Amino acid sequence: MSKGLQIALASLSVFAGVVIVLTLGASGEGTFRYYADLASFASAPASETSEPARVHGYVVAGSIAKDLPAGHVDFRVEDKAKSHSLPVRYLGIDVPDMFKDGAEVVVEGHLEAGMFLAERVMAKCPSKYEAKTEQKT
Amino acid sequence: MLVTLGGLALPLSVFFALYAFVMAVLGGLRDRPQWVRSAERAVIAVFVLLCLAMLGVEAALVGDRFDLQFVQQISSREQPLLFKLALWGGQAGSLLLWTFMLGLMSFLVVMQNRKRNRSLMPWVVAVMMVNIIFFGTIVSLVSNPYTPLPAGQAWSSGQGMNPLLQHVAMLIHPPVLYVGFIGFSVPFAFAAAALITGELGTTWFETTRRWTLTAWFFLGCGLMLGGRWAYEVLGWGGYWAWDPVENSSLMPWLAGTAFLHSVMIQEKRGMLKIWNFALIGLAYSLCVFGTFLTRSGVVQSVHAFANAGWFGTLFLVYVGVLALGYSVLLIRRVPELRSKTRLDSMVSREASFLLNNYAFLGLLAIVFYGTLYPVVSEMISGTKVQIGPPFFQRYAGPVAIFLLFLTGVGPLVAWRRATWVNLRKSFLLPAGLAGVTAVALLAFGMRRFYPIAFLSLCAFVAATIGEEYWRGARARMRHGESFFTAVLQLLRRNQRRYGGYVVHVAVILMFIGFAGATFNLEETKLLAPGEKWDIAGYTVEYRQARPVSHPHYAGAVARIALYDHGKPRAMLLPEKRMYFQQEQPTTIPAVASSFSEDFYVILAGLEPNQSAALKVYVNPLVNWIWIGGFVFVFGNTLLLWPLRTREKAGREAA
Repeated sequence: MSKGLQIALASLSVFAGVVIVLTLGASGEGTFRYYADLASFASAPASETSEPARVHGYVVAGSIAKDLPAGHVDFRVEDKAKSHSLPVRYLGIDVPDMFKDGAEVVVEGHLEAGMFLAERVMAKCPSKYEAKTEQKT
Repeated sequence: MLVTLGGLALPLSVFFALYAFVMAVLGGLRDRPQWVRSAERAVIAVFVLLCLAMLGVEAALVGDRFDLQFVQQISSREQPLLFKLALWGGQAGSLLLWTFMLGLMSFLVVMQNRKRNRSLMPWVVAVMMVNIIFFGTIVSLVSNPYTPLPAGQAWSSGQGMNPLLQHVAMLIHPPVLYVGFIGFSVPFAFAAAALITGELGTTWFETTRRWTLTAWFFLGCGLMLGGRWAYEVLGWGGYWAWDPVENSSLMPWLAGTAFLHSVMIQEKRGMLKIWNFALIGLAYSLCVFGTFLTRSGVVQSVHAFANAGWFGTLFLVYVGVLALGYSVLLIRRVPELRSKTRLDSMVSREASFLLNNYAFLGLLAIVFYGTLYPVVSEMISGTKVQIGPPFFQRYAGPVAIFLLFLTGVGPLVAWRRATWVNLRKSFLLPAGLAGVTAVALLAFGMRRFYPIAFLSLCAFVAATIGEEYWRGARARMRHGESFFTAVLQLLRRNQRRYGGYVVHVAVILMFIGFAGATFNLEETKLLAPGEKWDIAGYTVEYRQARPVSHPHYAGAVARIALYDHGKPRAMLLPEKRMYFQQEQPTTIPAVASSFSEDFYVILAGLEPNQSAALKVYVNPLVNWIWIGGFVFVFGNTLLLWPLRTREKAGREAA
């Protein structure tokens, strides 16, 4: 076998090995299925939704109910078309600064008995590079 | 007046850049030095015009020109002057800054090389101009800071900069990063020029050594500034989230670190020529790719940026063209670049530098994969998957350990082939120290693998560096020098080696900080006024909450008395603020810092009955990261300090 072919085969196997290892690892702890809208989350099979997931949505106005002594915050998220909504319980009391009625959020956790138990709530940073859609006077 | 001039100067600079490109290429192809000189004069003109364009935007910002869309978006009447000047707070401004810096660097390169590298310069100018033509066109046509508001709109003030960004670290973080990203374009241009002209020796990276080191230094500082800002302002107790935007500035830095080390092997033994050309191409491509990732929104990130699909595609195409074009140039030269020298032994300095490179590229592959996996998985299977920090930590951990180990071994192991004598002389003491550290940690009750491994290896590397300085200084002291003078002379005579060791010390300190993260504590509790809370040896006494009033915001501050093992330690004042203009709530943490740990508290919530929800983070050893950052700056200053030695002066005159 020529030198060039040896090197090519070696590089290919190293590359394949790395890809395989990383892909296997990508299903372990720290990876989440991401649902860009509630419709896709609602239509996902039960086996999927009980796994760690991140769901994108908007906080339903008026739905935020903080229960600081009990240590959780309940709210609902809906999608942009307001066709689906999901009850969420965040298992903590330190909600992010951007979290308020109508905020764009990603909740991280899993579905249990119809309620989404969130270990993390992420609210979108206001975009530096986007023009604000609502103008203010 | 200035604003109008600036608006005209901007597109004009692109025309001059085009002229410079054409003249440089023609001058290079036809071997006409006069045409190349003309191109270089055009580069100077480009720079002057871009200065005008920058000045115009700054004038508009300072002058409250809210008739311009860009000014209306990122500034406001009450904004402090320093933050008004920060034109990088918006897409158009940051792209203009990028273009301006390209112009500045092109200008400096032209001025530096008036009497040097004349055969390479036509192509260096050509490549630099390609960059300016791309970015300048985008700014002029797509994202122009001089664009006026749509007809019929008028605003008395602007939306103002996000209050989260109004922090001194954020003020300098983008420009510092840009010096890093754009700085890499210079060695890239010289590499491309070398490939085109066939001058494949060491000139191309020796002549750009300072550029590469400076760019790498600034990129590293930018990364640390971002982390420090996140820690101080964002209030989640951490400094790095493996977020795609963070990763996109880490990746070129990793490639750059590999490059800085591998060029040393080419200098000493003439090996790795193809590798070095490939690495700098990779590093610069990653810089532009990083800006694509950041601005295109192709990967979901908590740093939400505009999701303009075709805009991002433009950048992707540009990266592709750059990378492909450069690869073609490189592949053409592969037969000439093959070195005859082979590795003599795996236990040698060459081998450890090569392993160092593999490790950095492995790290790069992990970060790249984890960052882009969501995009790829969506294309293949339809479901989007997001990758969080545990993925990166799981794979980066072992690589980091290996790299730490190499940091100690590489500089001391012999060239070509190490003998047992050499190994024993150099590594017995450091290995012993590492073992003692591990045993001591175990004896203290530590059971977690990573902190023990990190800290023991830190001891190992520290001992090797100490050995090197000691041996070097002792040899000089035999000639009568004092220890202090000897060390200074070591730095003067062998700047790269001994300055590099200081940078390695910075790395050790930072790893000590990272090791502490395994023991981070995080707890939340609701406290009534006057209530006390014992946690991790501290006592938190929540006294009361008071309202806070300021021209730009209102909020509440919790007055907290912190006791450390019973003794009064500090008064902590975490705040919650609501900025009026942006209607943005912000949490400001309060921190009590020491060398051993940080006690970090945020006001998570305030009930009507004045009960406060407090979230506490105890972060052991975290301040060693910032201390390491300062040593990093010191080390790089030592490395970059201009030393006019007689040899250098002689070489330049020749």
